[in-house]
Amino acid sequence: MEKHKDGKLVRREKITALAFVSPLIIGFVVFTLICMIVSFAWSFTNFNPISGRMKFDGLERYVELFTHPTYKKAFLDSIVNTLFLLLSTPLCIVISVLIASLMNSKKFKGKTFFRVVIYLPAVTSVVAVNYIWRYMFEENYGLINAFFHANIPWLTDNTLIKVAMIIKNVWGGIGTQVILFMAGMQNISDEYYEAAELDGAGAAYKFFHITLPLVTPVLFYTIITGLIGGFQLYADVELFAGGQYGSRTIVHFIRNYGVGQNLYGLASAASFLLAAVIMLITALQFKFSKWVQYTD
Amino acid sequence: MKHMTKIFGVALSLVLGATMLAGCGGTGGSANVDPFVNDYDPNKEYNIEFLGWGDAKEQAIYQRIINDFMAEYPNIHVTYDASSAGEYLTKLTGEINDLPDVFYLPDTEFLQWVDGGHLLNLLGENGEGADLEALSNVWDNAVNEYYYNPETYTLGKSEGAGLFALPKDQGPFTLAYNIDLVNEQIEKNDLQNDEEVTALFSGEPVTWEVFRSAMKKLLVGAGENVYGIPYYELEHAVYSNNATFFDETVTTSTLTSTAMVDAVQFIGDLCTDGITPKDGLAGNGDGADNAFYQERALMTFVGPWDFATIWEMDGFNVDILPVPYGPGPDREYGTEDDGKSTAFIGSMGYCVAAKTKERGTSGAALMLAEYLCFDESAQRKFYSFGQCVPNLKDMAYNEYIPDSLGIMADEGHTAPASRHIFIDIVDGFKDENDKIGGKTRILYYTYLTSWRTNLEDTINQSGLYTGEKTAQEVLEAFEPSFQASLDEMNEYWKG
Repeated sequence: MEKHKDGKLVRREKITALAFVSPLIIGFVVFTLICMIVSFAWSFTNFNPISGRMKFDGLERYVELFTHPTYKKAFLDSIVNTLFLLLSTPLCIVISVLIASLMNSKKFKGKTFFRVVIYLPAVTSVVAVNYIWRYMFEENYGLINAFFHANIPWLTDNTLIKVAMIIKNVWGGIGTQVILFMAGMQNISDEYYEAAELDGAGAAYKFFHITLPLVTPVLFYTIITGLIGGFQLYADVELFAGGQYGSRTIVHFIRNYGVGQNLYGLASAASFLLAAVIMLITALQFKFSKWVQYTD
Repeated sequence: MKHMTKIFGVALSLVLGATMLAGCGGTGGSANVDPFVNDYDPNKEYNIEFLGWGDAKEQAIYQRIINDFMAEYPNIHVTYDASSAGEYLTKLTGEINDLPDVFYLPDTEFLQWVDGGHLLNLLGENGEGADLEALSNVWDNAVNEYYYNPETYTLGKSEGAGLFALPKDQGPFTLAYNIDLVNEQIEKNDLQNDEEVTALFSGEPVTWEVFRSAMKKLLVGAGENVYGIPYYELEHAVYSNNATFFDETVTTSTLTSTAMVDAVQFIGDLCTDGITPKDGLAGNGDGADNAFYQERALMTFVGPWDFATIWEMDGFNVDILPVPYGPGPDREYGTEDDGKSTAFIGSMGYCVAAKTKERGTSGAALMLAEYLCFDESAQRKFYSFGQCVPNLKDMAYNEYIPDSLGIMADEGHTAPASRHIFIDIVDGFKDENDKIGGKTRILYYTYLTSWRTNLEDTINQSGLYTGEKTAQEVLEAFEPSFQASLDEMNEYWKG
């Protein structure tokens, strides 16, 4: 009788728990999982939703990404562009760690004010940010060229556009990362620093041997999310770079050929390759994550 | 847990299997030319949906015209929805299985949509279907564009073809210039009596050489960041040099023909001359409009719809010009194969969804499409609001060009003074002596659009604009992949 009561209770708890998580699960299944499955299936076909044609072609779409006379160059260039733009992730992390440790210092005055200022880009509209930066980098009347009295073709040169995007993305990403690193640094017990000071350790020693190792969980998180976000870059290409060739990322390729030109099979194949690469890189990061110190 | 995983696995396999099978075997087109059957009954109530695009202003104009339509036919209730131009096709494609009764379709997408069987044939028998008599007063090319014969894969009017849309408008897209900025440069450089500059603004087409020379003279002392024109439209150069991208059957590339090479080289030369910025074709779109509106370019390309914006800019005086023309395949002016001033034309069609047949709303939907396409009062409103030039030939010649009703003058909209050029373009080449005309934009003729993106990317990235490469080199290198695209596209469409 007692056992039966317990079982009933557990079942009721399970139902309640399920009710709480079901919106998320339903949302995930409907808007992510099913879409992924459908897209995976399409990647083996020549599906075009407008003409209604769909023929099973095996791995042909995957092969076409690397061999087709029309798409090969666009796809390979989009990979190169995406990889180049990923440079903003380590740059953003390095700058954020330095700013966070500076702001975390007891001698630093106006912490709250600077925290707000630094976090501002994170709460500003992506569209506004992209357009403002675009005007700043404009070749003929942009602020940056005006400041340097130069005529640098930031927005039209295939390499410089990527440099401009990296600068913009580092600026835009610092806010959130500084807050995360500061939170991580504030969790480090003062005892470590006091002990190190007694042993005569300087600021650099304390930073490299106490601060940095103990914020590695945050570092690990920012590297993983930064790289995933970097691989999925799209809005900047349209809003900031106006679709300029040198800025086109893999996701732009997917959007351009998939939705823009109704080549859903090809775009699905590119999506799955991208997903596979992201999963592989993330898995490798977890596998080689012994450097992350989870305990203090 | 194990049980759940199993169920989940089976569910996934089912979805995957169903997705793979759904539509399999759908390897051919399904356009249907069955005659239109009018299901309209004046004693019945109809609720129809109309999807379009445009900014808030365009939407307001459409809503007013739809309200007029509903006032005339109180038993037809129209729900109008619109999105931005950039998002429109995504939205429309998302509704592919339940399309609105009437919707816009760009002519560049027409072939795929008609082949997919989404559009209703509007030609009926015994007086049913589209009003062909009224359509005879609409620009010929505009109407003919939307005929298609799925048996012979023929675009345009032909035996056995169906009519799958009614024209919304017919473009056209031509050169516009900033009158004050140009006059300032003429005065500054003492060009009042310069023959080439005078010819350029005479309203008559000039040769490419005159165009380049006049623009170079005008740009002297204009400032480092002021250009002649923000970019040059590829089709205008190609069509105006009597050149083509491919042969008439859309099967063989003609990219390396003399006329085509010269057309692309003309665009490259404009860049090396400093008339257009170095990003050439890449600089089109909003950037080009802004450059023109901010007086950083003497000219740009405009369509009639741009005048709604221009009219709002007090003191910004604009007129239009025909595009310049090239010497043609023999590279000599004054011979039979000279190019003619040819702008691209074409815009969108009002389509009636094939599904209206099942819904019983085909007749009401066609009535709305016809009202928007050729109703006199609707057309008058469209041109007076700066939406388009009239679709109706008699209205264009007798009313729009002379502003005989004083509608444009009353509104303070006198620009463009040379609006007859818009009409010359849409009316096409009537005879050998006609110097100005238009030709439908190139993507209308091909099933897929990726080749065009690829061609523009190739030209933009080639070094043509800096003079490092010639058009001949660029196009020769690109032609094999272009031919492969054409072969594949035709195999996909007709194979």
